[in-house]
Amino acid sequence: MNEDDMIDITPQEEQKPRLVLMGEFSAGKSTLTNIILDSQPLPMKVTATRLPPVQISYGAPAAFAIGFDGTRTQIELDGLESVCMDETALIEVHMEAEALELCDLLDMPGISDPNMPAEMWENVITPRDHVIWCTHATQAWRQSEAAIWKILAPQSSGQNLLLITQFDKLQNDRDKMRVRKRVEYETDGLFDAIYPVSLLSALSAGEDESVWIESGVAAFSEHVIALLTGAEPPAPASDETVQMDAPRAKDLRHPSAVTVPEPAPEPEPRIMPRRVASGPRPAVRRLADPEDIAGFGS
Amino acid sequence: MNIETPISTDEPTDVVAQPQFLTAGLEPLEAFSQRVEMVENALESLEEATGSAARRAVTRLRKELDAFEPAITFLGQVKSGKTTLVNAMAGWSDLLPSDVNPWTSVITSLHLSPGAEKKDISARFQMMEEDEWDRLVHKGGRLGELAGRAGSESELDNIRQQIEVLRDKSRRRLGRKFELLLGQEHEYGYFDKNLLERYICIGDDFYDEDDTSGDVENQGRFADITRSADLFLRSNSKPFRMCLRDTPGVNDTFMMREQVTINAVRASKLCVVVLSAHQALTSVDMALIRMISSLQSRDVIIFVNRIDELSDPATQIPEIETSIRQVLADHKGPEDAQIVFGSAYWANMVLADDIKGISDASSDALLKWADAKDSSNLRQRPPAEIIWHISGLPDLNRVVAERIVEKLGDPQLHKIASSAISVASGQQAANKVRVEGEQAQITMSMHEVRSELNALADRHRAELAAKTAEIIASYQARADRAHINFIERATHSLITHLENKGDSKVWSYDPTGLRMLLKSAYSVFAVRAQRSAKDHYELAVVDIAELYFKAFGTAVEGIELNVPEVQEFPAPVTIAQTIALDFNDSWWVSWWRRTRGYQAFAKQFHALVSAETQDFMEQLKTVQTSQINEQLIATLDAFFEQNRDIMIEIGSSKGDADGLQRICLGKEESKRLELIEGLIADFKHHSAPTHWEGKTE
Ligand SMILES: Nc1nc2c(ncn2[C@@H]2O[C@H](COP(=O)(O)OP(=O)(O)OP(=O)(O)O)[C@@H](O)[C@H]2O)c(=O)[nH]1
Ligand SMILES: Nc1nc2c(ncn2[C@@H]2O[C@H](COP(=O)(O)OP(=O)(O)OP(=O)(O)O)[C@@H](O)[C@H]2O)c(=O)[nH]1
Ligand SMILES: [Mg+2]
Ligand SMILES: [Mg+2]
Repeated sequence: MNEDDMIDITPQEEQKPRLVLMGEFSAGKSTLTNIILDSQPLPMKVTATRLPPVQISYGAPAAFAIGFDGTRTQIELDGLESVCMDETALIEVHMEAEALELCDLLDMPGISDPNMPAEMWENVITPRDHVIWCTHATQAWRQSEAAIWKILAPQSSGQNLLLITQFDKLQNDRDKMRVRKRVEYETDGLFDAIYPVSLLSALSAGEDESVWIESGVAAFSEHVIALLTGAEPPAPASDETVQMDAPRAKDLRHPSAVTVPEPAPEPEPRIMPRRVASGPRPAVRRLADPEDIAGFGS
Repeated sequence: MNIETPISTDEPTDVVAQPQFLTAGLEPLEAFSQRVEMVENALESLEEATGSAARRAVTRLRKELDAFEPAITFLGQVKSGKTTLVNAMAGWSDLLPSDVNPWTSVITSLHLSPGAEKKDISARFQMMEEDEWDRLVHKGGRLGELAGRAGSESELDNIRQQIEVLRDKSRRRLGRKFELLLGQEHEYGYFDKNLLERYICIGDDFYDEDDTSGDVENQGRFADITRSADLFLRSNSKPFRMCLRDTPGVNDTFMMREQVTINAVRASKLCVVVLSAHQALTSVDMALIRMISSLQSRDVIIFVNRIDELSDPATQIPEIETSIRQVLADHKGPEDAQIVFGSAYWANMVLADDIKGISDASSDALLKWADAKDSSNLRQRPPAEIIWHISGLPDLNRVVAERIVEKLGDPQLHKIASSAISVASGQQAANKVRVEGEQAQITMSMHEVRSELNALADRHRAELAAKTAEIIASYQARADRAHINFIERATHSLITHLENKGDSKVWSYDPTGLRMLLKSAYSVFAVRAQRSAKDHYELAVVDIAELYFKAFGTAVEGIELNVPEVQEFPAPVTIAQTIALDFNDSWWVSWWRRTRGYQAFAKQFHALVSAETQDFMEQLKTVQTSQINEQLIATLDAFFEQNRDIMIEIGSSKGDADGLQRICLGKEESKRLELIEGLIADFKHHSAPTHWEGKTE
């Protein structure tokens, strides 16, 4: 009945590296998982998701609830949320997503949820893991995060990345710059790289390259591919514009291109102007007009 | 002290003329304000109509009413939007500096009083006392003490480094002799953004050469050593004076200011906890809410801020509310807490007259929420007013105003009106004595009256003090037992753990039990002490009444003596102070790893927890109880003093030549009597519990 069991119940033939997603609840871990999987098996919502850790690996689509007593019960792939928290130590999901050819994923429950036992995060990290810590841009890197990371960091031998999620919520460049600098300063030496990202726009980016790049997830995904394939990780771009002008990034959603033997064909450099989207964007009602608001409710 | 006169040329000019709708929701306060004005006028008339001795008593009442300023404290996690919300409540966007990084570092009290904007502005900053600063830099504040007790060297090193950085920073910002500033108070006849940023903002730790906005160099100059800030200003949109108190965010990585926040809670009867809609009610928020609500009659108002950032407020807000209520219920929080949803951002955009500047995503959310929230009665109003309504500020104003009136305002008014009745009816008695002239049955000399009253006061004071001391002693014994029991049980659990699981698995123990035990000991104490005080006050009233009769005979039959009310006791907030066991933190683990052997574990643990809890045990057992004792005695003394004044007034009426002359003049005197009778009726009206009539619930 303790978390040691959780490590035993991961019978992987050959152990791929694993990305472990951690952070405060509602930071965007499941959103990120769904982005990487290029489909949406995990529930995403504004309140805390009551779900045990979800481990996702390559295989014919199926899902299992693993009990604290070791029992393994098949469950519906789209009914993950129906499992009983008190009895389930882990949910195992198999999918045929391309990213899973490179790695397994572990989507952890968020910290600071009053309903989650604190032991949940002990003994999770194993030698094959890289932690992706998600911190919410508007309240980035609080004591509750720093305290847990201080315990976890020494357990990790992988390369760990810090994502500043929901970066779109910061309203201007100066604010973005200030948050980034402060987080860099406070987490100095704790992570291998820091990436500011807007997960919601990446989630709906589809094949729209400029949205994908602008979301910041492109740069992050390139780094992850590099570390999973043992290549030299890219130097984190110090400025957004550098990323914009970079050649087409390798995409974790379709990483197969990476496995092409070297030298990889140089992809067409695609230069994207900063705020021009090629795809249609959802029309946003504007407040420019008093009539707009005067007419609501009718 | 350092006083600067208004030299600022960049006095804030961006205050738009305050639109009428800003007062929406404050109606209960408006009605209360009118009641206060009536009482004030009545007191003023009474002051004029009384003789010199009783006038002193009335003046005291007027001062007490003048000093009444309801305060609302805003608490919450770092960057939840407290400062922005306080600005919106004050009706002045940009008043206090806010930022995307941790920013507020000082408890900042905004004292708002009705009146024209930009008048009578001033600011006062209090620096830390030397011992506070010492505690911070020599022991590293709470964190340092913790680490020190746990013997966690690496942690201590870490904290020492932080402190060195802090000192260096202070030296760099303030000069080598900065410690001379400790204990000082700085006053200004103005304030603006730059001035405030110097005192109450953290400033940047990270080097930022590109930033040229504002007076970056001076930001946070005094912040590390400033303890509190008081800003005084006028606001047309406030029907009654009030204090809005902004606090540094909790759960900041720089935890040294936890104590500051706890003290703020102790001083506040009304708290608004500000949450972020995107992560409503984390365990940190829950701890804060429990701390506030565990304290008797301190109910919490929850403001869920930042709803403008939700992609679909109409469905997400009900979802968030359900989730908050569920968590409150599951974790023994205040289930019926008032929850208000809103956006300080929208409110400030209205105040800044910039609703067109609202970002796209945000205006999308705004329109969706406007559709969902029933605001059909506003459809014809200008957009700014509609947005103000949707920002949740009127809702928050209403909840706050109702609490102010109900919890603080009316009880205060009631108390003052009751005292005023005593004084006024004493005045009637004095008059009767005067009319009766030499026939008045005054059997004691004024000297005798006074010394008998003093003797009564001494006796009652001593009796009350003795009884309170007895109650305190039994409370202390109970608290000690709870404390010892807790440590024993925890140690026992520790040993069981070691026997069953060995020392490789980290053990932890929840200190909630201790808090519950101490809290219940405290409430038993509070009930007993309050009851005993009430009994003593009643006895004192009986004795005083007898003395009146003995001294002045039937003339004083009409005097109404009200038993003084026993004030509410300060809440035992120190219980909430974090102790070692609260941190499932790295230093706990390192303490665990360092200590080996069962004996050593148990012994060290015992010492650690005793040392950790000593501070708040001391606060609870000694400091707080002696404050309560003083408060109970002060109420009794004030009561005696008031009656002394009335007695002097009555006593000096006999043979009062002026008075007789006045009576001979007749007409004026009977007018005066009529006036006093009218005033008594007024006061009676206000001494009965009143409620705002327009109240909907
Ligand atoms: N605006 C914005 N919203 C985001 C972003 N990332 C996530 N969200 C939203 O934030 C909410 C939480 O996202 P989740 O992915 O469920 O977060 P989580 O970390 O998995 O949360 P738990 O599973 O509860 O720990 C959802 O409503 C998302 O739509 C982002 O980058 N920008
Ligand atoms: N979108 C949005 N932003 C907000 C809202 N309220 C505050 N902000 C922004 O959030 C940031 C933090 O706000 P502050 O008012 O400084 O937060 P705080 O809680 O006082 O922070 P500390 O004093 O550091 O604890 C600022 O950039 C504000 O402009 C809101 O309702 N919506
Ligand atoms: Mg999730
Ligand atoms: Mg603030």
